[in-house]
Amino acid sequence: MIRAVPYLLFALFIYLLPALLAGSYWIHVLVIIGTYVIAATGVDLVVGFAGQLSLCQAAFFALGAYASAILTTTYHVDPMLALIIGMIFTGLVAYGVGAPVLRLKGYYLAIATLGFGLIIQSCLVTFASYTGGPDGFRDIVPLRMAGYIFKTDEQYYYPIWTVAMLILLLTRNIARSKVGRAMLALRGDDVAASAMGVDIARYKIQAFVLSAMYASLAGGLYAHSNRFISPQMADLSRSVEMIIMAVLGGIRTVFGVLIGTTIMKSIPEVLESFLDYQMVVTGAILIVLLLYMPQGLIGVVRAAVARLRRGGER
Amino acid sequence: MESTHLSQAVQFIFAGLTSGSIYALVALGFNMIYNVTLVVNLAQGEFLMLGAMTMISLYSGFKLPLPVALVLSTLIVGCVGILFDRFAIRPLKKPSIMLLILLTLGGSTFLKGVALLIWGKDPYTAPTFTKLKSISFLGASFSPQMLWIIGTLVVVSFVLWFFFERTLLGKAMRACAENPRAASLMGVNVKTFVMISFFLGGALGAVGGMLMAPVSFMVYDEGTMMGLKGFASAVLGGIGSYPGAVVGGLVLGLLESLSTGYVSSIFKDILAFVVLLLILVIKPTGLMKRSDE
Repeated sequence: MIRAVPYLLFALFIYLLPALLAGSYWIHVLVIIGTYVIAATGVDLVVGFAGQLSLCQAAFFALGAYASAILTTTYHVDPMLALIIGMIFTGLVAYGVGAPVLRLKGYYLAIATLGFGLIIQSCLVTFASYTGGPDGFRDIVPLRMAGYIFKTDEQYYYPIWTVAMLILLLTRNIARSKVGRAMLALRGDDVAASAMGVDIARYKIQAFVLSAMYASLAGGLYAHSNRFISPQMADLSRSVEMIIMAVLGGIRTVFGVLIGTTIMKSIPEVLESFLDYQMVVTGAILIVLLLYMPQGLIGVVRAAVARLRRGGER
Repeated sequence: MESTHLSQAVQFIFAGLTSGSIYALVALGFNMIYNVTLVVNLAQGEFLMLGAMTMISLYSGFKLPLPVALVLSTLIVGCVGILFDRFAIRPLKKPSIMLLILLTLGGSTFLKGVALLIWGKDPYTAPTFTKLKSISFLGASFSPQMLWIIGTLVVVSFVLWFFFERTLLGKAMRACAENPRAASLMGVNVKTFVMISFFLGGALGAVGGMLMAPVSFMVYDEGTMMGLKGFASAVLGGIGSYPGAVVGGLVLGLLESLSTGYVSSIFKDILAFVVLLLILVIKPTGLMKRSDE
C-alpha cells in the first residue's frame, strides 16, 4: 500500500495542475507532453526492457495519427472507434515487420527498423490523395465521446493524461510480471535467456507490437488534439527524440519517462528562438547523456545521494 | 526508333552509375571505419554534406582556386571526423552496439544542426570541375562530372583495397577491430589508428560530397538520405568488404535509375530500403561474402 502513495500523489498533482495553470499556454504544452509520454513508454518497453533498438517508433506514431485522421475526417468513423482501429492496424503492421526483422541483431536490427520508418514516411508523402501529401492533413475532426466534443486544450488534458497514467501503470505491471522479467533476460543475454527456456522470439515480438500500439494510440490522440499532422512526424529525428525521452530521465522507470518527455517537450517552449538550435541541442543532449549519464537524471540523483550518505557515515 | 530506345537505356545507365558511384564512396567510408573500429558510423552522410558545403563556401564564398578548395575541404572534414571520434565515441567506457548506434545518430543530428546554423536551409550547388559542355555517347548525353565521379571511385576503391589487404600498415589497422588488446600487445597503437580511420572516413565522405555538389543541390539535411543509401549499399555488398561496397553502390544506383526510368519515380527514394530490408531478411551477409569469413 505504501508503495502506491507516490503514484497516487502524482495522479492528484496531475489532476490539480490545470487549476494552477488556468488559461496558460502551458496547458497546451502539457497536452503534447501527455501524448508523447504514451509513445515514450512504448520506447521504454521495447528499447529499455527488451533491449531491441527500434528506430521506427515515430513511424508507428504517424501510422496511428494518419489512421485516425483518415478514418474520422474522410470516412466519418467515430473517433473512439478510429483510435482502436488505428491501434489494431498499427499492431498488425508491427507484427508483419517485426516477425522477420526482430530475428536480426545489433546494427542490422537498427538499420532495418530505420529503413522501415523511411518507407512509411515516404508512403505518407506519396499517397497524397489519402494523406494530403507533404503539406500534411488539415482540419482533423476533434475527439468525441458520447456526444461530448473535445475542443480546447483544457478539455483534452484530462482524457489524455488519464490514458497516459493508465499506460504507465499497465507498463509498470507488465515490467514486474513474468513477461517483464523475460524481456529483461533477453536484454541481458538472449542466448542465455533462450537456453533457460525463455521463448525469446515471442517476447521480442510482444514488446515490439505493444510499443507500436502505444505509439499509435499516442499518434491518434495527437491527431485529434492538434488537428493537423504531417509526414514529418514519422521522421527518423522524431524516433531519436522519443528514445531520448525514454533515456533522459532514467530508462526502465515510470518517472524517468515522465521527466524525460517533459524536458524534451519543454525545451523548445522555454527557448523561443530555439528552432534553429533544436538539432544541435538534441544531438548534444543525446551524446552527453549516453557518454556521461547512461542511467539518466534519476541515476545522477541516486549516485549523488549515495555519495552524500557515504560522506555522512565517515 | 531502336536508337532512341538504346540512347534512353544508355542515359539511364549513366545516371545510375553516377549516383551509384557516390553511394559506393559513402559505403567505402562506412567500411573503412567499420573495419578498424567495428563502429557503424551513421554520421557518414553528414561528412558528405559537410564536404560539399565547405567546398562550395571556400570556392564560391572565399574565391579560392578549385584544387585548393577541394584539398582544404577534404582536410577540414577529415578533422571533423577526428573530433567526432574524440568527443562522441572515445569517451564511451563500456561500448555496446546499441550505444554506438545512438551515439553516431546523436553525432549526425549535431552535425546537421551545425550545418543548419552555418548555411541555413538554402540549397547550394557548385560548378563542374572541368569546363566542358556535356559529352555525347550512343545518343545519350552526360555531364563531364560523371567521369570525375566514376574515375575517383575506381582510384579510391583500388587504393583502399590495396592498403588494407596488401600492406602491413593496413593489416595492422584491421587488427584493431579483430582484437584491440592483441593488436596493442603486438605494438599497434590502437588509439592512433582509430583516429586515422575516422580522419580517412571523414575525408572519404567529403570527397563523395564534393564530387556530387556540381550535379545536384546540397542542403544541410541532404546527407542523411545519402548516408543511409550508402549504408544500404554497404549491407548489400556485405559490411566490411571494399569490392562489396563498390558492387552494392553501383547495383543500388542502377536499380534506382532503371526503376525510375522504366517503372515509376514514386518509389525512387524507398527502393533502397526495400532492397535493404529484403537483403537483411534473406541474406544478411550481403551479396559478396567477406573473403576472411
